[in-house]
Amino acid sequence: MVPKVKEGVRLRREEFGGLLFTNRTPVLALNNDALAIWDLIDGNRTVLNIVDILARTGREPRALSALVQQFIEAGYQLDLLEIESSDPAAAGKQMNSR
Amino acid sequence: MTGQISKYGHLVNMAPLLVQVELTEACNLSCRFCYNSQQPRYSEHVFRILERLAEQEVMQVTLTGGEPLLHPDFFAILKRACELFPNVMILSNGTLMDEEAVARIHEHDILSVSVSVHGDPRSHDALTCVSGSYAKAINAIRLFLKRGTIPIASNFVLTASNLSRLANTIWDLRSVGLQFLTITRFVPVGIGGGAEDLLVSRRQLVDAFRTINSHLASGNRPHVEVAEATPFCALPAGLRSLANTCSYGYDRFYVDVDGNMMVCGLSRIPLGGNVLETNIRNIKAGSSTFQTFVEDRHLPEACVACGEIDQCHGGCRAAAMVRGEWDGGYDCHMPRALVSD
Repeated sequence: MVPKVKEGVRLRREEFGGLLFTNRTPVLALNNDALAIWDLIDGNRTVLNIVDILARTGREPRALSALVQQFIEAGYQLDLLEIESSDPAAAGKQMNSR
Repeated sequence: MTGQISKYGHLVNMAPLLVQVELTEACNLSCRFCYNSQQPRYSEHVFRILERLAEQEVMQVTLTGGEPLLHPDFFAILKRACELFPNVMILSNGTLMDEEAVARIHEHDILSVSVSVHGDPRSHDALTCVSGSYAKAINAIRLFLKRGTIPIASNFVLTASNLSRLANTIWDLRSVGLQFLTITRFVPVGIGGGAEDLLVSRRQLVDAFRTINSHLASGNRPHVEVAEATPFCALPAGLRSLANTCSYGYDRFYVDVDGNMMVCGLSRIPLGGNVLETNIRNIKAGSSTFQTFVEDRHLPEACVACGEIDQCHGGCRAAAMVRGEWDGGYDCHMPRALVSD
């Protein structure tokens, strides 16, 4: 499952993390944890890749995986992210329909 | 920068959340309450102004005036703004938004358009001093609603003359299908500076809040929001949740036709810099006005000691500036010295 930032979504970095601007939602604030996940979403990395990279910081992988999954689901629900998968049905199952 | 920035110190380095860009001071209406000059001044460097704002990571701009569609390059400006910013909004009187103009606006990905409606046909046209302006504004709203892709809102400037029409206007806009309505309070500045008869008393303001509260309790559309900052102490406790907080001069600003950075269009309090010449961060860092705001030094002692100051922020600083004194419950005291920063 490969998350990708949708067209028209713009990030502005701030001291506290970042702000996301789109025409589809109010301005959304990201803390530094959320920003670390956001920065790894490049349309190529899978969710597992993202968890692996973040796990190198020493965080517990299972908790981290849940956090990343939750963040990406929220981004999908808010129409900030699209999900690419070799198995679209699987992607659809994992991301509850909006 | 002298002194120590406290509660809002982070705002010095943070790019503004929103900038209102004034395309012209001119208008084809003559609203009695207008905060602008209605002079035929047009922004000659607006493309450069927009680029300068984008370079500094401003993400939200509102194209305003005067009537922004009167700018001879309006559609080119709109196109450029949409290329530069993720969020572009338009504030207009709607009278120039005919079918062709609305179609051209729909060529772009715009966050929202607001078309002002200030009462029923009679009270609206009496305030704008142009017969037929209500019909044109409503027509513009209908054209946007028909297409249904760009959110359309309306703004109602509350004055002593249209206050009694507020409930009916909300009802009329509901029947048109409008989803969002903002209410702003008349502040006697600009053209409206001499219109003492339009001033809303504290009792009238409370009446208007009661009307809005009743409407919101009904759950009906349009959703109504009081956009103007109102001192909490001017309102009964049960209505304070409707009051808004003004963040102009903190993380939202106004840029006039020449590129001068100001607190807001109503107050036109200069920050002492021009975005064509100076970075916004440096303008803020060198502005005693900005410093006064972020340190809350513009507030009277009664406000500073109040437990609700973080939500209320003392009300409208433009209104306070006009009044020139604190009267114990109706907009904070604004030192006159700030006006000439």
